Amino acid sequence: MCCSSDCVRNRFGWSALLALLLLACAQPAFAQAAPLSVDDLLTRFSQIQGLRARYVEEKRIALLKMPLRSEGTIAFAAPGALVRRAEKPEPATLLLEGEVLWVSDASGKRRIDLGENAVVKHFVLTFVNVLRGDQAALARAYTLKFAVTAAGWTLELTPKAPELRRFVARAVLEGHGAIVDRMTLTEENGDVTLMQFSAVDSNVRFDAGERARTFKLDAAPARTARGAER
Amino acid sequence: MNGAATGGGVAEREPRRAVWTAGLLLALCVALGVFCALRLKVVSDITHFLPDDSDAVTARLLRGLSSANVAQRTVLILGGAPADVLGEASAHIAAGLRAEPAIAGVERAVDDDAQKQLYELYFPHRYGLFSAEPERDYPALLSDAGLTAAAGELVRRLGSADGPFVRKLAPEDPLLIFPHIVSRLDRARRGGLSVRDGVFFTNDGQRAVLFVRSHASALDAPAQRTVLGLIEREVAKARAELRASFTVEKSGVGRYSVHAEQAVRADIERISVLSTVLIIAMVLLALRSFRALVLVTIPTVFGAVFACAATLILFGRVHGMTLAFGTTLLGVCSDYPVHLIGHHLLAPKGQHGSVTARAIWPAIRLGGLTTIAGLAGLGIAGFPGIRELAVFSAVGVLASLVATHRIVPVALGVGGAAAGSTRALADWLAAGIRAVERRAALCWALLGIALALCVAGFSSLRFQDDLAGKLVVVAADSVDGALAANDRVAAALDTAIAAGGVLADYRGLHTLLWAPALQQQNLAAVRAAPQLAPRTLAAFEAAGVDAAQLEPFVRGLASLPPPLTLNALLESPLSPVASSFVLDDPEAQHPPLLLTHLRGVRDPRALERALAAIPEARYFDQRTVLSSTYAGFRARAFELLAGGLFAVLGMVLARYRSLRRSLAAITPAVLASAATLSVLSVFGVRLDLFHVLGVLLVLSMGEDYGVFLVENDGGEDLPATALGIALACASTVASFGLLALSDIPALRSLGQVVSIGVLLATVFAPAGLVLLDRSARAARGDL
Repeated sequence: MCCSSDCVRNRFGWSALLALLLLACAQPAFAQAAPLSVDDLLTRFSQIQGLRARYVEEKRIALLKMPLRSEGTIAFAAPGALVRRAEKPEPATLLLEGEVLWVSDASGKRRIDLGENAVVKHFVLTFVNVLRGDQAALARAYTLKFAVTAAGWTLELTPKAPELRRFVARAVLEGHGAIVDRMTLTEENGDVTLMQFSAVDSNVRFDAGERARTFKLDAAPARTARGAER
Repeated sequence: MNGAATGGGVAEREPRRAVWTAGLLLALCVALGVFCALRLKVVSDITHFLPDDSDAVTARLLRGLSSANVAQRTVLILGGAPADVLGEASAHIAAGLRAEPAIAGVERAVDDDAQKQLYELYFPHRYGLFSAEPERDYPALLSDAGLTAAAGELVRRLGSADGPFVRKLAPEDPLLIFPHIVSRLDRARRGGLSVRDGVFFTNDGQRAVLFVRSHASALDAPAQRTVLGLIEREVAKARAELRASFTVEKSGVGRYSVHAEQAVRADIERISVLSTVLIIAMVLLALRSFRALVLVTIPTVFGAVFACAATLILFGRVHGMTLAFGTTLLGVCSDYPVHLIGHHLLAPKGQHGSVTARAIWPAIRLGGLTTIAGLAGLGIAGFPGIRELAVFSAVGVLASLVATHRIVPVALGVGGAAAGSTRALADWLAAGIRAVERRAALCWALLGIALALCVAGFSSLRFQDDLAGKLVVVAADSVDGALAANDRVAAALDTAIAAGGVLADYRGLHTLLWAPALQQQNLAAVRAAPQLAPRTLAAFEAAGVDAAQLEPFVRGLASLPPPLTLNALLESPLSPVASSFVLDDPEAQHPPLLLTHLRGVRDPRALERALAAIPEARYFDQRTVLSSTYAGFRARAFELLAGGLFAVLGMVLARYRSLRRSLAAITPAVLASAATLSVLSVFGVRLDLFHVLGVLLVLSMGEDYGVFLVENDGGEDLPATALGIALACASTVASFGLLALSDIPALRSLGQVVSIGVLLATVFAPAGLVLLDRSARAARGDL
């Protein structure tokens, strides 16, 4: 049996969520100057009120002979509303409300309680702590490695907790100034998710109506014959 | 009663033997009292009052439901504080309660181990649990087109939100059969809960939820009171330890059981105190004697102790209902010493108690024995609880008769000591009786009014046998048969839901487990698919999957495991959920009953039609079935009352050897009972079984009044008889009148019937004398 109970626990799409949260906390609107430290970077992240961006995601999965590609938009509103809308290869919505993750895709709508899984919950909270600039909390869960490069900077997060390490090997953010350009998530089994961000507007102020329209679960799209674009 | 005069005037020294007998009886009473105190075990299981011959499935169901897992669960909802505080409070309370032996378990959070065990339970059996219609769904899935679609779906899911989960499963389960089962289980499991930090919360996320299961039945009020006490203690500790204030709401059958018992207990206590004060005041006012007050209580206490001891010896425990209603029925016992004491106080001065007792003993004995005959009739009722009540009451009345006959006379002292006011009251009452008796037209008018009331009221009699869930119950000869029928029930319910207008939803075992036969059909469909492994690999390879990684899937197809069994399910972490759909036979003689809980039933008849093709299944509306059970109980109680009346008539006939005297003795009580039901009915009261039990008491007491008057016929001591009857009536009407004001329907019913009935019986009793042979008395100049 290749699968253990862990796969039951870990079915909540945390990698997608991780990408979403990382992006959300990594798009400051105001600062183009390169951060000099983790403190500096986290301080800028914590001041985001809202953002919109486009993304292109590529998943390199060992089981598949070719990578999966998808693209769409994301939106974030402080303190914790997140939505990701895939446009290609088929419509899908992923909405985070508090501790509930709603998914709407060709399989239908479903609700995922993040609280049901300590690992996922821990993981998500970690990135909420990133948004809050809570370095102490982050340092308890991850080893943080910040480096300035010729192109900008990198922030590498390596899980400390063994239960988390069983799923995530590391996450690497790459950016310039206070903008994240790319996020690479490497799973324990070698699968890699790579997200490229563009058209970032991190100075969004959602009013009530816009917020309601943006952070809602779309109707489940009709199932298509072809599963994904490769 | 003339004998009172013949032996009177001379104070005899009570033979030593009588004193010894009284002493021994009192000692026996004390010993039995100690025995009762040490061995008293009160139960409150409502099923004790189910008929013996009720249909077997219904009886098993009703007995099982009272102890079913769902009913044993108390739900705690914590609110009024931030979620993290509520989560911590939930953990504190659960930890404290789990340490208590009375608590079977506390569910407050998703258990990581449970998820692991869920996987371990279902994953090996996934092929057998794929489809309820495997002949349709498997060929579709396992056809070339189906496999191509499944491969596309896998690829899509690998890139979706649950991709990591799917990636782990895919090498062994590329067809994604297990996620399909998990979705089904999730739908069944949630039941309106959300989860925060692994802790159950309400869907709005504002309140934490805990499920507390006790070992004892939810209807075992004393045990549930203990559980509620433990909960309150742990809540208080959590508040103190966390220094937080939060609200706690409790729900569950057990809580209501406790609430009901507390309400009944509070009402009885309140009414007991009031009625005791009233009765003491009446006895003191009427008899002006503290000694009389003490002596009146002796036969009642004697009766209660012997009744309790006999019930404990015969049945091993006393039901709470028996104790409550039995002791109420024993209220009749105080009439005997009141009658005796009244006669003694008004006896010739200096008359010894034994002389008075001898004189009126035939009347008391007849009254007592006819009461016992009426109560004993209930003993043949097909209800264990009512049998117990009959034994309790009959033994109690018998014991109080013995006490009235053997103990009270010894302590009566010298007779004729009545105060002037007592004599005046007695004379006034006697004059009233004579006034009624002398006016035959008035007597017939009273009896006519009683009959008219009966006729008027009986046409409007409405019975209410109300108790309240809707279920489908499956009973079969084998577990496999029951599971198969349960699967068919689920299919029928699905069809009914899809049709609309029949029911909204259901929850049952079918979500968790299918019959072995259906699982075998699923497995057979997999085995029947030709060249499944190579075709699957080809389809997935074509979709871009590295088919070499699907080797575990190919190995799994070669060794499909046997079906999942009910026992395996009940031993798994899903047991708390599964067991709410399974009612085991406590004697292990039958396979368990399988329950499907229905919600939003709008068309019961359509539902019954939908289930008609499944002989093992039946629609069960708890309200309807319990109501018909209690209607049967009430009807049977009426039959037994009628039988008891015939027995009473026979006994009275045997004593008087005169139909007229016999009818004169019992007719007023019968008319009073019937008229009472009619009066209540005319006023729109819906009658229940407690009204019927009240009628029993009216008959017992009212018939005693008739017997006392008939025994007295033409005697000189009518004032004493009148005083005894008036005092007995006044104390009964006062105490039961207070009961009629109770908020508890059962107590209110009993109070209404007895207070009205006894009053009517007292009024009708003198009128009954018109049935006597008046010519003989007129010749004597009595009239």
